[in-house]
Amino acid sequence: MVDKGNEALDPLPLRFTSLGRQIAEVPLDWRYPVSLQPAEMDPNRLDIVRVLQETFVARAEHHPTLPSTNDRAMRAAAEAPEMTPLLVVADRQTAGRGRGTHRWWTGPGSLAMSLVVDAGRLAACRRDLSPLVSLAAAVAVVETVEPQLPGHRVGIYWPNDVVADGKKLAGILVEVLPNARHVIGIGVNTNNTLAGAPAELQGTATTMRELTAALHDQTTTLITLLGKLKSAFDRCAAEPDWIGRRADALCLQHGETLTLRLGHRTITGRCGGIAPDGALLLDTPQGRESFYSGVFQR
Amino acid sequence: MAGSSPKQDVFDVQEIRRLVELMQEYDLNEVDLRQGETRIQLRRGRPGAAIGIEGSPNLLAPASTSAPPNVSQPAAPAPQTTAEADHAVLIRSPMVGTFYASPDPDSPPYVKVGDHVGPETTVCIVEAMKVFNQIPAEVSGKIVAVLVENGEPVEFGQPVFKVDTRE
Repeated sequence: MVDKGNEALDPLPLRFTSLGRQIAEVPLDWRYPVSLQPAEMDPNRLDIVRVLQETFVARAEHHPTLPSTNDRAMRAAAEAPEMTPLLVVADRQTAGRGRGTHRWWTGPGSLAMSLVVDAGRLAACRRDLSPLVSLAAAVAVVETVEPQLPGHRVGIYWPNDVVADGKKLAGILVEVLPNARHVIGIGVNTNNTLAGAPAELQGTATTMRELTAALHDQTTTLITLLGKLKSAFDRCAAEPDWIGRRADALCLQHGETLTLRLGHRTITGRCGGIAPDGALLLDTPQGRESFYSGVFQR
Repeated sequence: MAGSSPKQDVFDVQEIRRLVELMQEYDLNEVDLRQGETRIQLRRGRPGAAIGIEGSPNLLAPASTSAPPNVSQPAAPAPQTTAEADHAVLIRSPMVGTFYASPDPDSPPYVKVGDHVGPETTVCIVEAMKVFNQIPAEVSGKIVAVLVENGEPVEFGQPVFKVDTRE
């Protein structure tokens, strides 16, 4: 664990910390003096100190392996509630979560992070507006990865799946604690490949590495993503409708016929995009309807 | 109502559900339908109801009902005693979304009828746009009714639990 002051603020019993990990690795990497171990030597190597220096994050944890960054972030938020924004990153996630029973598969080289943000920092932290955080995160991810994927069609499937060339590139799961603190979990398929992925993902997912046949610097990608997230949150504070309009511009489902399951209802309609308040718009035989939740039947 | 077939049984659960959705969509407080010898009357909320937690002396919704409106026929719920009504408060959904009684499908519900809760007890999740809001009770007492089925949509301000504050 590190923070802006490079000192632990509490006795969290972490097995691994970013500073501890770097120090521990020095003797193994005898070819370079400590000061000459640039992260860019290995695009997958995360420079968590640089992340702290160059972003709005106040405190960070970098774990080699975690079951779920969101679970760890929620526990850390309870242990040291005064230090936010808190970033939790894992090189490997063994039980990443999605909606319901869905799991987020994290292969070696992917980016798995969770950000804990206090209600006061987010304009959308009123409970009735908190879903906008979901769109804000999706917009931030698209704006981060799109410049690294020239020639590829990158956008959003409502509410927050980030897709490239029709395949899922990133997933987002936001959990709001009873005190309105937001835990924003983001998984991006950066430098992983689908070689070891479950069979059901082979045709539906993609990675930046597979799209470009190149490795992407994890530290730079994470720093850019955190900057885009802050910009989106700040913009939301000044102009709440902006997130919905921006997400609508990035939505790739315009005009598609979609079927949504909502409780006992199943609704089929033509997608009219995303409303300024974040709702999915479907043109159904009964007219245009707005939806704030539901699961697509594909 | 629009879209309903006159040959259908008005007491069909799916038909009642559709009526409830239409009432919510068009913000109707009452629907009264007759078909031959049968009649269905649906009432929703009460005039001037505030958003948030409030006393609910007039609430007649039964436990485990799938919809917020009171269904007076054919399954009229048992009336509350006056003492219970005086101490009953509603926990309402603070947002539009989907109601989840448990943190994930494999876990037990956060609370069930008979459980005691405090103001900070998480009683459910309301999910909208893949944002999972843990909803605190914000009141102390005993859960006496769960008013929404797991996985069903809820509206802003819709009652989701009834709590007896005497216990």
